[in-house]
Amino acid sequence: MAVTEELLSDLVLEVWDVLLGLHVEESVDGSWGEASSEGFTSTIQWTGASQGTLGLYTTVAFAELAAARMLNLSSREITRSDASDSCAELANVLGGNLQSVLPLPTHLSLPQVVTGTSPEFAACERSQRVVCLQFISAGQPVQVSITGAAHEGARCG
Amino acid sequence: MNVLIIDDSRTMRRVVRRCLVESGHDALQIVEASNGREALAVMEEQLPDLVICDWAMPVMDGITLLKEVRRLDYRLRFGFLTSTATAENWRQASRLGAEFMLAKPVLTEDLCRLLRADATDAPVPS
Repeated sequence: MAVTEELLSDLVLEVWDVLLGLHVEESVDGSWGEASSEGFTSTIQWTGASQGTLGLYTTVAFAELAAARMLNLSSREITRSDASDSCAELANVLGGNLQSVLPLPTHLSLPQVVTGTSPEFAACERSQRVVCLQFISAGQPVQVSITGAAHEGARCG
Repeated sequence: MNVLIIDDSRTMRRVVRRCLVESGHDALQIVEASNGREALAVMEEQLPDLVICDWAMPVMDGITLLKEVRRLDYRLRFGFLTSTATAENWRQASRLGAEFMLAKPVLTEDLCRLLRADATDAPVPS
């Protein structure tokens, strides 16, 4: 089965609902805004019968909110490490759930988090071989991209 | 009941801990480890009743830990909470006696079911 935008969008909605208890909606009207160098980009790669990378970009504010929701703490109590770790876990859960639609065998990497935008994020702007969706959640931009996997109907934003 | 949560993500360990605490189960003692090797060190001190383990972790992953647990003949309930709850992973785990494989994101209700000693309806991938 291919990684489609619909599948990825449904997955994001489910993970946001169950793990964060947050509403998230796709941004299709160009109101998503600019990626900030102050954000986090989490990536998880897979190898095997196919190869690809899932990238998750969030702002620092969203990462702190996500951590607060996951840990049931106030935003003031959240450390940068908590925020980074929460982003990694979100990417991990998204990547793990994607695995069920990827051709076997598939081996997932551990998630990596970098500050700012990663090469995978930048690739969204220039690659034709990518699924890239932009969302708004709690008023903050969130981007989820797939590079390298077979997909249908690619677009960015 | 002594529960050992093993996950390299501190966030996930805290999420699982919170879900277990909120279940209202009496006399729950929770210990954490961030990989299989740390978990073995914990088990040397005291065997937990229930192990909730991530699949992919640095240093020692979950399936390697389960093999060690069987080799050492530790008697405890062992299962996985993982984002990669695939049929293939479940085949490997169940052959080694894993009781359950929960998919992340996990529901509190599913975790609560694990706390029942006689849980016969533990979730597994189809």
